[in-house]
Amino acid sequence: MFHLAFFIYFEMAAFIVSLLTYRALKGTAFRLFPFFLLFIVATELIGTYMTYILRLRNNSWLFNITTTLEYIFYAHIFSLTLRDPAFKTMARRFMAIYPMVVLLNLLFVQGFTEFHSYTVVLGSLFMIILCCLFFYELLLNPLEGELRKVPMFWISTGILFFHLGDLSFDLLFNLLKNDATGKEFFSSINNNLILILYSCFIIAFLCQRSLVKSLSH
Amino acid sequence: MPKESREIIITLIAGTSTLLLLGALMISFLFLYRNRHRKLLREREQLKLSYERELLKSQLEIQEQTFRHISQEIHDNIGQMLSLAKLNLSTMDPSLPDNLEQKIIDSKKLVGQAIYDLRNLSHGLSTDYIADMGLVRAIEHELEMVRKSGNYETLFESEGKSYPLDKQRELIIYRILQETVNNIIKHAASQKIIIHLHYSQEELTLSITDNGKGFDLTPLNQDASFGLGIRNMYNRAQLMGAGFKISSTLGHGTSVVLSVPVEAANTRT
Repeated sequence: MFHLAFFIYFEMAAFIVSLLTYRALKGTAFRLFPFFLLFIVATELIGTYMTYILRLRNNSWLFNITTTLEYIFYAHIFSLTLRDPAFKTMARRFMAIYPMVVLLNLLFVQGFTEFHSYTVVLGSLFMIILCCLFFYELLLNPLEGELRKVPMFWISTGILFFHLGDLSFDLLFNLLKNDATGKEFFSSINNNLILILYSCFIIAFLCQRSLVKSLSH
Repeated sequence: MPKESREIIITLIAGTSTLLLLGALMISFLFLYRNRHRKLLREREQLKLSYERELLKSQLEIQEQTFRHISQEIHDNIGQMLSLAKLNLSTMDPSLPDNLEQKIIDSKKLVGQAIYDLRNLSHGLSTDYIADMGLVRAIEHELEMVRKSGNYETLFESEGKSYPLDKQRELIIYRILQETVNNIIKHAASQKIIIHLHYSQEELTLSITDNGKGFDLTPLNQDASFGLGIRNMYNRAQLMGAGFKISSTLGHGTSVVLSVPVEAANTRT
Protein backbone atom coordinates (compact mmCIF):
# COMPACT_ATOMS: atom_id res chain seq x y z
CA MET A 1 0.00 0.00 0.00
CA PHE A 2 1.38 3.42 -0.86
CA HIS A 3 0.99 6.68 0.93
CA LEU A 4 -1.17 9.35 -0.76
CA ALA A 5 -0.15 13.01 -0.60
CA PHE A 6 -2.41 15.14 1.56
CA PHE A 7 -3.49 17.41 -1.29
CA ILE A 8 -4.94 14.44 -3.21
CA TYR A 9 -7.56 14.08 -0.48
CA PHE A 10 -8.50 17.71 -1.14
CA GLU A 11 -8.84 17.01 -4.84
CA MET A 12 -11.04 14.03 -3.98
CA ALA A 13 -13.09 16.17 -1.63
CA ALA A 14 -13.58 18.75 -4.40
CA PHE A 15 -14.67 15.96 -6.75
CA ILE A 16 -17.16 14.58 -4.20
CA VAL A 17 -18.59 18.05 -3.50
CA SER A 18 -18.92 18.66 -7.24
CA LEU A 19 -20.88 15.40 -7.50
CA LEU A 20 -23.08 16.27 -4.53
CA THR A 21 -23.84 19.72 -5.95
CA TYR A 22 -24.10 18.52 -9.53
CA ARG A 23 -27.78 19.45 -9.78
CA ALA A 24 -26.81 23.06 -9.12
CA LEU A 25 -23.85 22.92 -11.52
CA LYS A 26 -25.90 21.39 -14.31
CA GLY A 27 -26.84 23.91 -16.95
CA THR A 28 -24.12 26.35 -15.83
CA ALA A 29 -20.57 27.05 -16.96
CA PHE A 30 -19.39 24.67 -14.23
CA ARG A 31 -21.22 21.55 -15.44
CA LEU A 32 -17.99 19.85 -16.62
CA PHE A 33 -16.25 20.27 -13.26
CA PRO A 34 -17.06 16.80 -11.87
CA PHE A 35 -15.57 15.16 -15.01
CA PHE A 36 -12.55 17.44 -14.87
CA LEU A 37 -11.98 16.72 -11.17
CA LEU A 38 -12.39 13.00 -11.76
CA PHE A 39 -9.71 13.28 -14.42
CA ILE A 40 -7.43 15.21 -12.04
CA VAL A 41 -7.89 12.69 -9.22
CA ALA A 42 -7.30 9.79 -11.63
CA THR A 43 -4.11 11.44 -12.93
CA GLU A 44 -2.80 12.01 -9.42
CA LEU A 45 -3.53 8.39 -8.49
CA ILE A 46 -1.93 7.04 -11.67
CA GLY A 47 1.08 9.35 -11.15
CA THR A 48 1.50 8.18 -7.58
CA TYR A 49 1.08 4.53 -8.65
CA MET A 50 3.71 4.97 -11.36
CA THR A 51 6.17 6.55 -8.95
CA TYR A 52 5.70 4.39 -5.86
CA ILE A 53 4.55 1.01 -7.20
CA LEU A 54 5.99 0.80 -10.67
CA ARG A 55 9.04 2.78 -9.55
CA LEU A 56 9.08 4.69 -12.82
CA ARG A 57 11.43 7.65 -12.54
CA ASN A 58 9.78 9.79 -15.18
CA ASN A 59 6.08 10.51 -15.37
CA SER A 60 6.44 13.90 -17.04
CA TRP A 61 4.42 12.84 -20.10
CA LEU A 62 1.39 12.23 -17.87
CA PHE A 63 1.59 15.68 -16.29
CA ASN A 64 2.33 17.31 -19.65
CA ILE A 65 -1.03 16.03 -20.86
CA THR A 66 -2.81 16.86 -17.59
CA THR A 67 -1.55 20.44 -17.28
CA THR A 68 -2.36 21.15 -20.94
CA LEU A 69 -5.91 19.88 -20.53
CA GLU A 70 -6.16 21.76 -17.23
CA TYR A 71 -5.36 25.09 -18.91
CA ILE A 72 -7.77 24.35 -21.73
CA PHE A 73 -10.50 23.53 -19.23
CA TYR A 74 -9.95 26.73 -17.22
CA ALA A 75 -9.90 28.78 -20.43
CA HIS A 76 -13.19 27.09 -21.40
CA ILE A 77 -14.75 28.12 -18.07
CA PHE A 78 -13.57 31.70 -18.60
CA SER A 79 -14.83 31.73 -22.18
CA LEU A 80 -18.28 30.93 -20.76
CA THR A 81 -18.23 33.34 -17.83
CA LEU A 82 -16.48 36.42 -19.21
CA ARG A 83 -18.96 38.90 -20.66
CA ASP A 84 -16.92 40.99 -23.05
CA PRO A 85 -16.98 39.32 -26.49
CA ALA A 86 -13.31 40.29 -27.02
CA PHE A 87 -12.30 38.54 -23.77
CA LYS A 88 -14.37 35.48 -24.71
CA THR A 89 -12.68 35.30 -28.08
CA MET A 90 -9.30 35.63 -26.39
CA ALA A 91 -10.06 32.63 -24.14
CA ARG A 92 -11.38 30.58 -27.07
CA ARG A 93 -8.31 31.35 -29.18
CA PHE A 94 -6.12 30.28 -26.31
CA MET A 95 -7.99 26.96 -26.17
CA ALA A 96 -7.27 26.40 -29.87
CA ILE A 97 -3.68 27.64 -30.01
CA TYR A 98 -2.28 26.45 -26.69
CA PRO A 99 -2.27 22.66 -27.40
CA MET A 100 -0.46 23.34 -30.65
CA VAL A 101 2.17 25.43 -28.88
CA VAL A 102 2.62 22.67 -26.28
CA LEU A 103 2.99 20.10 -29.04
CA LEU A 104 5.58 22.22 -30.84
CA ASN A 105 7.43 22.69 -27.56
CA LEU A 106 7.44 18.95 -26.86
CA LEU A 107 8.44 18.08 -30.42
CA PHE A 108 11.17 20.62 -30.98
CA VAL A 109 12.23 22.25 -27.72
CA GLN A 110 11.84 20.40 -24.43
CA GLY A 111 11.01 16.90 -25.63
CA PHE A 112 8.32 14.43 -24.50
CA THR A 113 10.31 13.11 -21.57
CA GLU A 114 10.77 16.55 -20.04
CA PHE A 115 8.18 18.58 -18.12
CA HIS A 116 6.98 21.33 -20.50
CA SER A 117 7.90 24.18 -18.17
CA TYR A 118 8.08 26.85 -20.92
CA THR A 119 4.53 26.30 -22.06
CA VAL A 120 3.42 25.95 -18.43
CA VAL A 121 4.76 29.46 -17.78
CA LEU A 122 2.87 30.66 -20.83
CA GLY A 123 -0.31 28.90 -19.67
CA SER A 124 0.05 30.25 -16.12
CA LEU A 125 0.51 33.80 -17.40
CA PHE A 126 -2.57 33.43 -19.54
CA MET A 127 -4.60 32.07 -16.62
CA ILE A 128 -3.51 35.09 -14.52
CA ILE A 129 -4.59 37.41 -17.35
CA LEU A 130 -7.99 35.68 -17.61
CA CYS A 131 -8.49 35.98 -13.85
CA CYS A 132 -7.60 39.69 -14.01
CA LEU A 133 -10.08 40.17 -16.86
CA PHE A 134 -12.77 38.47 -14.80
CA PHE A 135 -11.99 40.72 -11.79
CA TYR A 136 -12.00 43.72 -14.10
CA GLU A 137 -15.52 42.80 -15.22
CA LEU A 138 -16.52 42.42 -11.56
CA LEU A 139 -15.28 45.96 -10.97
CA LEU A 140 -17.42 47.22 -13.83
CA ASN A 141 -20.55 45.49 -12.49
CA PRO A 142 -20.38 46.06 -8.75
CA LEU A 143 -24.08 45.56 -8.21
CA GLU A 144 -24.24 41.85 -8.83
CA GLY A 145 -24.66 40.46 -5.36
CA GLU A 146 -22.08 39.93 -2.67
CA LEU A 147 -18.66 38.97 -3.97
CA ARG A 148 -18.24 36.12 -1.52
CA LYS A 149 -21.40 34.51 -2.86
CA VAL A 150 -20.30 34.60 -6.51
CA PRO A 151 -19.07 31.07 -7.49
CA MET A 152 -16.83 32.28 -10.31
CA PHE A 153 -15.12 34.71 -7.95
CA TRP A 154 -13.91 31.74 -5.87
CA ILE A 155 -12.88 29.74 -8.90
CA SER A 156 -10.91 32.72 -10.27
CA THR A 157 -9.35 33.41 -6.85
CA GLY A 158 -8.18 29.80 -6.60
CA ILE A 159 -6.78 29.79 -10.14
CA LEU A 160 -5.11 33.16 -9.63
CA PHE A 161 -3.35 32.23 -6.37
CA PHE A 162 -2.33 28.83 -7.67
CA HIS A 163 -0.74 30.20 -10.82
CA LEU A 164 0.80 33.24 -9.15
CA GLY A 165 2.38 30.92 -6.59
CA ASP A 166 3.55 28.43 -9.19
CA LEU A 167 4.94 30.98 -11.60
CA SER A 168 8.26 31.52 -9.79
CA PHE A 169 8.94 27.79 -9.72
CA ASP A 170 8.02 27.36 -13.37
CA LEU A 171 10.35 30.23 -14.29
CA LEU A 172 13.17 28.69 -12.24
CA PHE A 173 12.33 25.12 -13.28
CA ASN A 174 15.53 24.51 -15.24
CA LEU A 175 17.63 25.64 -12.30
CA LEU A 176 15.60 23.68 -9.78
CA LYS A 177 15.15 20.35 -11.57
CA ASN A 178 18.52 19.03 -10.40
CA ASP A 179 18.32 20.63 -6.96
CA ALA A 180 16.70 18.23 -4.49
CA THR A 181 16.35 20.85 -1.72
CA GLY A 182 14.83 23.38 -4.08
CA LYS A 183 12.40 20.80 -5.44
CA GLU A 184 11.38 19.73 -1.96
CA PHE A 185 10.88 23.32 -0.98
CA PHE A 186 8.77 23.98 -4.02
CA SER A 187 6.69 20.86 -3.32
CA SER A 188 5.66 22.23 0.05
CA ILE A 189 4.62 25.55 -1.53
CA ASN A 190 2.85 23.80 -4.38
CA ASN A 191 0.97 21.43 -2.08
CA ASN A 192 -0.39 24.37 -0.10
CA LEU A 193 -1.39 26.15 -3.28
CA ILE A 194 -3.27 23.02 -4.36
CA LEU A 195 -5.13 23.10 -1.04
CA ILE A 196 -6.09 26.74 -1.69
CA LEU A 197 -7.15 25.96 -5.28
CA TYR A 198 -9.40 23.04 -4.43
CA SER A 199 -10.80 24.70 -1.30
CA CYS A 200 -11.82 27.59 -3.52
CA PHE A 201 -13.48 25.16 -5.92
CA ILE A 202 -15.38 23.55 -3.03
CA ILE A 203 -16.57 26.99 -1.84
CA ALA A 204 -17.61 27.86 -5.41
CA PHE A 205 -19.72 24.69 -5.73
CA LEU A 206 -21.42 25.34 -2.41
CA CYS A 207 -22.07 28.97 -3.41
CA GLN A 208 -23.58 27.76 -6.67
CA ARG A 209 -25.84 25.40 -4.76
CA SER A 210 -27.10 28.11 -2.38
CA LEU A 211 -27.53 30.45 -5.36
CA VAL A 212 -29.74 27.91 -7.13
CA LYS A 213 -31.62 27.24 -3.89
CA SER A 214 -32.28 30.93 -3.27
CA LEU A 215 -33.48 31.33 -6.86
CA SER A 216 -35.85 28.38 -6.65
CA HIS A 217 -37.45 29.62 -3.39
CA MET B 1 23.04 23.49 1.64
CA PRO B 2 25.15 24.76 -1.29
CA LYS B 3 25.28 28.51 -1.77
CA GLU B 4 23.77 28.33 -5.26
CA SER B 5 20.86 26.23 -4.03
CA ARG B 6 20.26 28.68 -1.17
CA GLU B 7 20.15 31.60 -3.57
CA ILE B 8 17.65 29.81 -5.78
CA ILE B 9 15.42 29.06 -2.81
CA ILE B 10 15.60 32.67 -1.63
CA THR B 11 14.68 33.82 -5.14
CA LEU B 12 11.83 31.33 -5.18
CA ILE B 13 10.52 32.50 -1.80
CA ALA B 14 10.82 36.16 -2.75
CA GLY B 15 9.19 35.66 -6.14
CA THR B 16 6.35 33.52 -4.84
CA SER B 17 5.69 35.81 -1.86
CA THR B 18 5.66 38.92 -4.07
CA LEU B 19 3.30 37.38 -6.57
CA LEU B 20 0.97 36.02 -3.89
CA LEU B 21 0.97 39.37 -2.16
CA LEU B 22 0.09 40.98 -5.45
CA GLY B 23 -2.82 38.56 -5.80
CA ALA B 24 -3.99 39.30 -2.25
CA LEU B 25 -3.80 43.04 -2.92
CA MET B 26 -5.79 42.61 -6.09
CA ILE B 27 -8.57 40.70 -4.30
CA SER B 28 -8.58 43.19 -1.40
CA PHE B 29 -8.85 46.09 -3.82
CA LEU B 30 -11.74 44.35 -5.56
CA PHE B 31 -13.59 43.93 -2.25
CA LEU B 32 -12.85 47.47 -1.17
CA TYR B 33 -13.89 49.01 -4.46
CA ARG B 34 -17.12 47.02 -4.66
CA ASN B 35 -18.03 47.80 -1.06
CA ARG B 36 -17.44 51.50 -1.59
CA HIS B 37 -19.33 51.53 -4.82
CA ARG B 38 -22.27 49.68 -3.28
CA LYS B 39 -22.27 52.09 -0.36
CA LEU B 40 -22.30 55.02 -2.75
CA LEU B 41 -25.16 53.53 -4.73
CA ARG B 42 -27.10 52.86 -1.54
CA GLU B 43 -26.61 56.48 -0.46
CA ARG B 44 -27.70 57.71 -3.86
CA GLU B 45 -30.75 55.48 -3.70
CA GLN B 46 -31.56 56.82 -0.24
CA LEU B 47 -31.21 60.39 -1.49
CA LYS B 48 -33.54 59.62 -4.37
CA LEU B 49 -36.05 58.10 -1.96
CA SER B 50 -35.99 61.08 0.35
CA TYR B 51 -36.31 63.37 -2.67
CA GLU B 52 -39.38 61.46 -3.81
CA ARG B 53 -40.77 61.56 -0.27
CA GLU B 54 -40.31 65.32 -0.13
CA LEU B 55 -41.87 65.66 -3.54
CA LEU B 56 -44.92 63.75 -2.43
CA LYS B 57 -45.09 65.81 0.76
CA SER B 58 -44.89 69.01 -1.29
CA GLN B 59 -47.70 67.81 -3.53
CA LEU B 60 -49.88 67.02 -0.53
CA GLU B 61 -49.14 70.38 1.09
CA ILE B 62 -49.97 72.24 -2.11
CA GLN B 63 -53.20 70.28 -2.35
CA GLU B 64 -54.01 71.03 1.27
CA GLN B 65 -53.34 74.73 0.72
CA THR B 66 -55.50 74.68 -2.39
CA PHE B 67 -58.40 73.06 -0.55
CA ARG B 68 -58.05 75.55 2.29
CA HIS B 69 -58.18 78.39 -0.22
CA ILE B 70 -61.17 76.88 -2.01
CA SER B 71 -63.09 76.39 1.21
CA GLN B 72 -62.34 79.97 2.21
CA GLU B 73 -63.31 81.27 -1.20
CA ILE B 74 -66.60 79.35 -1.19
CA HIS B 75 -67.44 80.49 2.31
CA ASP B 76 -66.38 84.13 2.06
CA ASN B 77 -67.06 84.94 -1.53
CA ILE B 78 -69.19 82.60 -3.60
CA GLY B 79 -71.39 81.65 -0.66
CA GLN B 80 -71.98 85.32 0.13
CA MET B 81 -72.88 86.12 -3.45
CA LEU B 82 -75.30 83.22 -3.74
CA SER B 83 -76.90 84.08 -0.38
CA LEU B 84 -77.35 87.63 -1.58
CA ALA B 85 -78.85 86.40 -4.84
CA LYS B 86 -81.21 84.15 -2.87
CA LEU B 87 -82.16 87.08 -0.64
CA ASN B 88 -82.89 89.18 -3.72
CA LEU B 89 -85.08 86.45 -5.18
CA SER B 90 -86.96 85.81 -1.96
CA THR B 91 -87.67 89.50 -1.39
CA MET B 92 -89.05 90.12 -4.88
CA ASP B 93 -92.38 91.79 -4.85
CA PRO B 94 -94.38 91.51 -8.11
CA SER B 95 -96.39 94.58 -7.10
CA LEU B 96 -93.27 96.77 -7.44
CA PRO B 97 -92.09 96.29 -11.07
CA ASP B 98 -89.21 98.82 -10.92
CA ASN B 99 -87.77 97.22 -7.83
CA LEU B 100 -88.39 93.76 -9.31
CA GLU B 101 -86.39 94.51 -12.44
CA GLN B 102 -83.45 95.85 -10.45
CA LYS B 103 -83.47 92.81 -8.20
CA ILE B 104 -83.45 90.48 -11.22
CA ILE B 105 -80.51 92.38 -12.74
CA ASP B 106 -78.60 92.28 -9.42
CA SER B 107 -79.32 88.58 -8.93
CA LYS B 108 -78.14 87.80 -12.48
CA LYS B 109 -74.95 89.74 -11.83
CA LEU B 110 -74.36 87.93 -8.53
CA VAL B 111 -75.01 84.48 -10.02
CA GLY B 112 -72.79 85.36 -13.02
CA GLN B 113 -69.97 86.45 -10.73
CA ALA B 114 -70.38 83.30 -8.62
CA ILE B 115 -70.15 81.17 -11.78
CA TYR B 116 -67.02 83.07 -12.88
CA ASP B 117 -65.36 82.63 -9.49
CA LEU B 118 -66.31 78.96 -9.38
CA ARG B 119 -64.75 78.44 -12.81
CA ASN B 120 -61.56 80.12 -11.60
CA LEU B 121 -61.55 77.92 -8.53
CA SER B 122 -62.00 74.76 -10.56
CA HIS B 123 -58.75 75.51 -12.41
CA GLY B 124 -56.92 75.35 -9.14
CA LEU B 125 -58.48 72.01 -8.26
CA SER B 126 -56.35 70.07 -10.70
CA THR B 127 -53.29 68.67 -8.93
CA ASP B 128 -51.23 69.26 -12.05
CA TYR B 129 -52.09 72.91 -12.42
CA ILE B 130 -48.51 74.02 -11.76
CA ALA B 131 -47.28 71.76 -14.53
CA ASP B 132 -50.15 72.86 -16.77
CA MET B 133 -49.78 76.59 -16.35
CA GLY B 134 -46.02 76.74 -15.73
CA LEU B 135 -44.09 78.22 -12.84
CA VAL B 136 -44.50 81.90 -13.81
CA ARG B 137 -48.25 81.66 -14.23
CA ALA B 138 -48.58 79.62 -11.01
CA ILE B 139 -46.70 82.32 -9.07
CA GLU B 140 -48.93 85.02 -10.59
CA HIS B 141 -51.98 82.98 -9.61
CA GLU B 142 -50.71 82.61 -6.04
CA LEU B 143 -50.05 86.35 -5.78
CA GLU B 144 -53.46 87.12 -7.23
CA MET B 145 -55.08 85.15 -4.45
CA VAL B 146 -53.02 87.00 -1.83
CA ARG B 147 -53.87 90.34 -3.41
CA LYS B 148 -57.57 89.47 -3.45
CA SER B 149 -57.54 89.33 0.32
CA GLY B 150 -57.05 93.10 0.17
CA ASN B 151 -54.36 93.17 2.87
CA TYR B 152 -51.29 93.09 0.67
CA GLU B 153 -49.71 94.95 -2.13
CA THR B 154 -47.92 92.49 -4.38
CA LEU B 155 -45.31 92.87 -7.08
CA PHE B 156 -44.04 90.19 -9.40
CA GLU B 157 -41.13 90.61 -11.78
CA SER B 158 -39.73 87.99 -14.13
CA GLU B 159 -36.39 88.71 -15.71
CA GLY B 160 -34.68 86.81 -18.53
CA LYS B 161 -36.13 84.39 -21.03
CA SER B 162 -38.16 81.85 -19.09
CA TYR B 163 -37.56 78.14 -19.68
CA PRO B 164 -39.36 75.15 -18.25
CA LEU B 165 -37.71 73.09 -15.53
CA ASP B 166 -38.72 69.53 -14.91
CA LYS B 167 -42.16 69.12 -13.34
CA GLN B 168 -40.89 67.87 -9.98
CA ARG B 169 -38.48 70.73 -9.48
CA GLU B 170 -41.08 73.34 -10.42
CA LEU B 171 -43.40 71.78 -7.86
CA ILE B 172 -40.80 72.03 -5.09
CA ILE B 173 -39.93 75.63 -6.04
CA TYR B 174 -43.60 76.51 -6.01
CA ARG B 175 -44.09 74.85 -2.63
CA ILE B 176 -41.15 76.78 -1.15
CA LEU B 177 -42.68 79.98 -2.49
CA GLN B 178 -46.09 79.06 -1.08
CA GLU B 179 -44.58 78.27 2.33
CA THR B 180 -42.66 81.57 2.35
CA VAL B 181 -45.77 83.56 1.42
CA ASN B 182 -47.71 81.74 4.16
CA ASN B 183 -45.00 82.68 6.66
CA ILE B 184 -45.21 86.32 5.57
CA ILE B 185 -48.99 86.28 5.99
CA LYS B 186 -48.80 84.59 9.40
CA HIS B 187 -45.82 86.29 11.02
CA ALA B 188 -44.36 89.22 9.08
CA ALA B 189 -47.05 91.88 9.54
CA SER B 190 -46.04 93.36 6.20
CA GLN B 191 -47.99 95.26 3.59
CA LYS B 192 -45.91 94.44 0.60
CA ILE B 193 -44.71 91.17 -0.98
CA ILE B 194 -42.21 91.35 -3.84
CA ILE B 195 -41.35 88.29 -5.89
CA HIS B 196 -38.51 88.35 -8.35
CA LEU B 197 -37.76 85.52 -10.73
CA HIS B 198 -34.53 85.62 -12.69
CA TYR B 199 -33.81 83.17 -15.47
CA SER B 200 -30.17 83.01 -16.48
CA GLN B 201 -28.17 80.40 -18.40
CA GLU B 202 -26.58 79.10 -15.21
CA GLU B 203 -29.40 79.22 -12.72
CA LEU B 204 -32.91 80.20 -11.89
CA THR B 205 -33.14 82.58 -8.95
CA LEU B 206 -36.31 83.19 -7.02
CA SER B 207 -36.37 85.89 -4.38
CA ILE B 208 -39.28 86.69 -2.10
CA THR B 209 -39.08 89.89 -0.09
CA ASP B 210 -41.43 91.52 2.39
CA ASN B 211 -41.36 94.81 4.25
CA GLY B 212 -42.57 93.34 7.53
CA LYS B 213 -41.13 93.33 11.03
CA GLY B 214 -38.33 90.88 10.27
CA PHE B 215 -36.94 88.42 12.79
CA ASP B 216 -33.78 87.34 14.55
CA LEU B 217 -32.11 84.47 12.70
CA THR B 218 -29.75 83.55 15.58
CA PRO B 219 -32.04 80.90 17.17
CA LEU B 220 -32.05 79.07 13.81
CA ASN B 221 -28.44 78.07 14.43
CA GLN B 222 -28.96 77.24 18.10
CA ASP B 223 -32.35 75.63 18.56
CA ALA B 224 -33.19 72.69 16.31
CA SER B 225 -36.90 73.01 17.02
CA PHE B 226 -36.96 76.66 15.96
CA GLY B 227 -37.99 77.44 12.41
CA LEU B 228 -38.95 73.92 11.37
CA GLY B 229 -40.67 75.32 8.27
CA ILE B 230 -37.50 77.15 7.24
CA ARG B 231 -35.38 74.04 7.83
CA ASN B 232 -37.84 72.06 5.75
CA MET B 233 -37.51 74.54 2.89
CA TYR B 234 -33.73 74.42 3.21
CA ASN B 235 -33.72 70.59 3.05
CA ARG B 236 -35.97 70.57 0.04
CA ALA B 237 -33.74 73.07 -1.74
CA GLN B 238 -30.71 70.91 -0.94
CA LEU B 239 -32.39 67.78 -2.27
CA MET B 240 -32.72 69.40 -5.69
CA GLY B 241 -29.17 70.77 -5.53
CA ALA B 242 -30.35 74.36 -5.04
CA GLY B 243 -29.07 77.08 -2.73
CA PHE B 244 -31.39 78.53 -0.08
CA LYS B 245 -30.56 81.78 1.67
CA ILE B 246 -32.60 83.72 4.14
CA SER B 247 -31.75 87.17 5.45
CA SER B 248 -33.74 89.34 7.80
CA THR B 249 -33.35 92.66 9.58
CA LEU B 250 -35.56 93.55 12.51
CA GLY B 251 -38.01 96.22 11.43
CA HIS B 252 -37.00 96.06 7.78
CA GLY B 253 -38.41 92.79 6.51
CA THR B 254 -37.14 89.45 5.33
CA SER B 255 -35.76 88.12 2.09
CA VAL B 256 -35.60 84.51 0.92
CA VAL B 257 -33.48 83.61 -2.10
CA LEU B 258 -33.61 80.24 -3.83
CA SER B 259 -31.00 79.52 -6.53
CA VAL B 260 -31.58 76.46 -8.69
CA PRO B 261 -28.66 75.56 -10.97
CA VAL B 262 -29.98 74.89 -14.46
CA GLU B 263 -27.76 71.83 -14.92
CA ALA B 264 -29.04 70.27 -11.70
CA ALA B 265 -32.57 71.27 -12.57
CA ASN B 266 -32.47 69.51 -15.90
CA THR B 267 -30.38 66.47 -15.17
CA ARG B 268 -31.59 65.30 -11.77
CA THR B 269 -34.43 62.84 -11.67
